[in-house]
Amino acid sequence: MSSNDLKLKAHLLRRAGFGASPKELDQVSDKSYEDIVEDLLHPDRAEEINMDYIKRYNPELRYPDTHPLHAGFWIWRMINTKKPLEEKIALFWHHVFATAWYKGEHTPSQIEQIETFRRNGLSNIKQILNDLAKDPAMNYWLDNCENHSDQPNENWGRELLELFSMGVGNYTEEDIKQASRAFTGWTFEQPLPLYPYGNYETKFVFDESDHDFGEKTFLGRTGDFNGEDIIDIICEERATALFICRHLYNFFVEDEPQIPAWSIEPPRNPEAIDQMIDVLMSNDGEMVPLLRFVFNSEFFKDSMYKKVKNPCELIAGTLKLTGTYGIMPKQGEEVGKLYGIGSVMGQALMNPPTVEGWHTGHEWIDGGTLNERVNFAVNQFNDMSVPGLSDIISRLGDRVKASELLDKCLDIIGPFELGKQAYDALSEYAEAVGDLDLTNEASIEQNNEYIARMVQLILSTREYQFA
Amino acid sequence: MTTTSIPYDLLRSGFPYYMTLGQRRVTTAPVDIGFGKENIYVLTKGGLGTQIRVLNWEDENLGVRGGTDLFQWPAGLLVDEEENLYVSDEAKDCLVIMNKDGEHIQTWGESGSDEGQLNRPSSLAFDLEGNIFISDTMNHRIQKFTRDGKFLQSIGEMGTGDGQFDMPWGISVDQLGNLYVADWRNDRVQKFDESGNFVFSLGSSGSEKGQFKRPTAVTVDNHGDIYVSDAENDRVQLFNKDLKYIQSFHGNATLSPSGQQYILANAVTLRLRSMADFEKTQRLDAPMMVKVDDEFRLFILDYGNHRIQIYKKDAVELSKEQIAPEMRNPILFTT
Repeated sequence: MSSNDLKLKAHLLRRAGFGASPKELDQVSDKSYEDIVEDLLHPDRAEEINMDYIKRYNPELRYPDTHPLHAGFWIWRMINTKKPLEEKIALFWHHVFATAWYKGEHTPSQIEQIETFRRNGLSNIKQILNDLAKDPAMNYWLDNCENHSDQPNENWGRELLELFSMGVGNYTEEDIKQASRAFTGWTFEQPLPLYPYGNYETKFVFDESDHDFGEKTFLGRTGDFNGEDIIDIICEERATALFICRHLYNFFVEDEPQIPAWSIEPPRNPEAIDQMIDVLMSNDGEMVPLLRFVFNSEFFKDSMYKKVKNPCELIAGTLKLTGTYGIMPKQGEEVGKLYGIGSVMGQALMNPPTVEGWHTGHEWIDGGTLNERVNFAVNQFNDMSVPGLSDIISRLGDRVKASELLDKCLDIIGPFELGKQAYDALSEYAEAVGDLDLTNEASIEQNNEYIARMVQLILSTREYQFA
Repeated sequence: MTTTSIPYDLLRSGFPYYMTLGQRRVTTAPVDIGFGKENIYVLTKGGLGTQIRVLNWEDENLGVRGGTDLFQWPAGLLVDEEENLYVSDEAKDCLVIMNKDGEHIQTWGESGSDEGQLNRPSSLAFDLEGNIFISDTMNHRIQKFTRDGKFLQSIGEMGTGDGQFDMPWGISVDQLGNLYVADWRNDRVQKFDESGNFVFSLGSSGSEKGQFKRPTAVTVDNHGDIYVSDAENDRVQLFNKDLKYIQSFHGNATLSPSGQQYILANAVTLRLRSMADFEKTQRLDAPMMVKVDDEFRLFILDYGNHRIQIYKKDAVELSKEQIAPEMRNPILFTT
């Protein structure tokens, strides 16, 4: 297998998952790129994650109380899952259908929404939108529980069209009103209050007595539409396919202009988007054929390092390298901390800033978040006892020439490419360190420090910020 | 109803719900419980409080003992005759001892897998001489120490056979000195005699009667009845001394005194509670620990609901002469 093949597989696993540890890359080295794509698209082929130990030592995960713990647990799943696309697609839909904990402060429904994305994220656009419309967290977030037959609330109806399916310019104000009427009576069961015994779950309820059964005209069609009918009509529209494909392209392929600019800025790669729309529409909105097309496309393969890592990708990918936060939790590895780390980088999971979700690409980076990102990655290798460092050292072999150290580390960590400036600077460090004899017991501690420092230098580069 | 010797059999009148103690932010995420002369000590673990909460029988909050300055991942609690408090710490592999006012007396324990060393110590139990059994979870064994930390005995090893364990958790000692172990990842309970010899294994993996899904604790009352916290099945199962399944507890709670006081003072909470499905509020959610006292009160730490549900056995002790001889087969002529 050529180095380019491995680079491509690593690229795929960074985009369709959260990166791969050297060991995980070993495990796919004999598989073809296309077979790896198929495995990713079929999470049912992979074994379930072993959660016995994480739940044994974080028993708070048994009850849905503080959302940081559960948001951090999600990052733990991103690190440890054998079904990376299942978690990645859940994160994708969380980006698109941004729902925040801070309004309802009801952790069980927030957890359930992510579980729904995990379960249906690779299914069908129509299914996904229907589940979303019945999701209690979304229902409360966009006030559909206040959408009564005699007193409509148009918040959900408006955002369904503007931010969740068609995008601005493809419908009228009247369409919003008519769609909202169709969702009257779509509410949820009142959960028991938080005190005195903690949170209780809730579920979707259709209150027939509060539904407007009158005739509606929506996007030129007339009938006694309910919510499902509205979603059926939305899914027939090319604008919906365009909207979903732009989101997908931005999330999986290449940083795009941000959503507020979509009505005035065309896609960066209109040809690719057109092809994606055709695939989606000709497959009745099925996600798997679309993602299969994307991951096997030349534009995807050519998109290496054209995307700034979102904080989850950066955190999970780095911790895969260190081998920490694994299946068996160690002292100090409190999963709730992972939520805090993402938050200071600008991505508080389950708590996006607005219904528009997070802005991505270069907007992840500012003076503050860049510091957090670089420091986080570098600091993970301050601890010389992390298992990932031992693994890197063992893969370097017995002797490493100064001229080989950087290339070998880049191969193990990535395979990973640096620009000339960074490459030259790190080569100077390698020259200063000199040849390393890793069999020499007397100098083993010093040599390990040299290697850890080289890894830290690589993780501190501009290039490491990109996926 | 108290007893000093195990009766031949029981007329089981019932096992009614008795009362509930605690609430969120007072007994958040309770993992173990111990009893003083008047006080009830509840060990809690998690972001909303890692400490020992002290309550009385009126459910009044009398403050806390210990905290993260003394232990990080507390798992087990023992209270001795002086009301000294013993807490195992799974993060630091040690046992922390405080007096009843929370003043630190001693910490002992050392990480490792050699005899006398600990790897994630969890549940605790006194033997009949007052020595301490510790569930040495990640060493897959039970070890016995004197109260000041001198190693005395080790029972078991990693495995699935008789007398072997896979991450043992809750332990208990009966009035005859037998040791019971919730063999967590093997989904069973094992019994050992006073010398540490294997006696029996109870249960298998599953959700049927007599099966367990990650049992976290076991306790035995003075009738020889065995109670198992079947945590992932959200129930506690009761077996008699002959290992016959008797019944399950799924939760039948009413409001604790403190919970009732809270709700009555909050009009919105009152309204929301009246709008909600009431059924759910009674049930157990991940019962983490189960204990029984000499008065046959059963304490279930209803972990996911931040409270302690208490039940009280109502039974008549029977002599051999009072009950017909055992039958080999069932009969339809039931008189």
